[in-house]
Amino acid sequence: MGSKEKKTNDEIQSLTTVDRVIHEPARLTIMAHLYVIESADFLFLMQQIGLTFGNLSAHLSKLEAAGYIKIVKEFVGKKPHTMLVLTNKGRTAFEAYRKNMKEFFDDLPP
Amino acid sequence: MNENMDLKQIEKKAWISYFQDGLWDIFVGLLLLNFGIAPLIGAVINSDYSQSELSDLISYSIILIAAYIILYCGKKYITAPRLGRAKFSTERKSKTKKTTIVFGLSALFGLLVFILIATDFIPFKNTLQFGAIAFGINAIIVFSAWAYFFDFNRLYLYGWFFAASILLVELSRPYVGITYDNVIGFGVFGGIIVLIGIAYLIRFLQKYSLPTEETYHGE
Repeated sequence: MGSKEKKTNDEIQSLTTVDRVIHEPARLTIMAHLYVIESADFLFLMQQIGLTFGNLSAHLSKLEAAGYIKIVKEFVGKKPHTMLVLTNKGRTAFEAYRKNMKEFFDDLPP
Repeated sequence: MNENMDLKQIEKKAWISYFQDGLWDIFVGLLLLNFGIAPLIGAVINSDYSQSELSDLISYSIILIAAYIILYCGKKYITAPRLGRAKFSTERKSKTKKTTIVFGLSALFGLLVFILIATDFIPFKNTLQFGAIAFGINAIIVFSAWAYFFDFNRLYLYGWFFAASILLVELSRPYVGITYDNVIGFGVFGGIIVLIGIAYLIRFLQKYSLPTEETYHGE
């Protein structure tokens, strides 16, 4: 196996081990938004990303189960409010995911 | 596929969404309209010239307070229930602080010009006077800084509208006299800005409907 073939196989191998929790387009978008915004509520994310209530809820559950986001309940006036925040684990995972993807695409031949 | 995700663009788009409701446009428009309407109201309320400055001040204050109330209530009862809430990063917060500093400096500058004119250190003439020029330049600088730090591009235009309103006041004065020159000058451009704000507000209401209770709380 030539060195070029070996390198390409290594790159493909690294892609198969990518974080699949983040690697879904909707969840990736959610993570990206929470990475740049300190916190956001459910409605804000829904309006920004364009997902339906059920769809967003399902993806948030997966991210919460993975420990990447946490739900913070607070009160705005007398109304309860749910804010979503990226955890430190989620922030680290997102940065690692970005780095892996960038390296993968940078190493691809033109 | 994903490596080109521009995080800055995502943050900017999220931030800008708060300005698509037109409420800040309406607020800025009312500020400008205030300069035109308040003297007129003051003149109507009190025909005694010795008290006209007091009634002008009262009129300015009332309209200014009304503008703030409209902005505050609009954000609370129209925008937040439709758009949701977000807390932005420290970088965005520091930009907001810089804008506040610019406003503070501008207010000081405006006060200084006012004092210099009131004490006749700068002569007040019926031609295009220094105070008007200073007001116009100040408005362009302040609004441009506000637009830059807030990523709110319409403010660049509104700064020029503020400056142009001064020019219109000066041009109309020979024909309509004092008081009505302010109504025309500030009224035209203030009215345009308010109309732009209302148009954005209507579009915002059409785009973002009120969510259901479960969506609002995410439960």
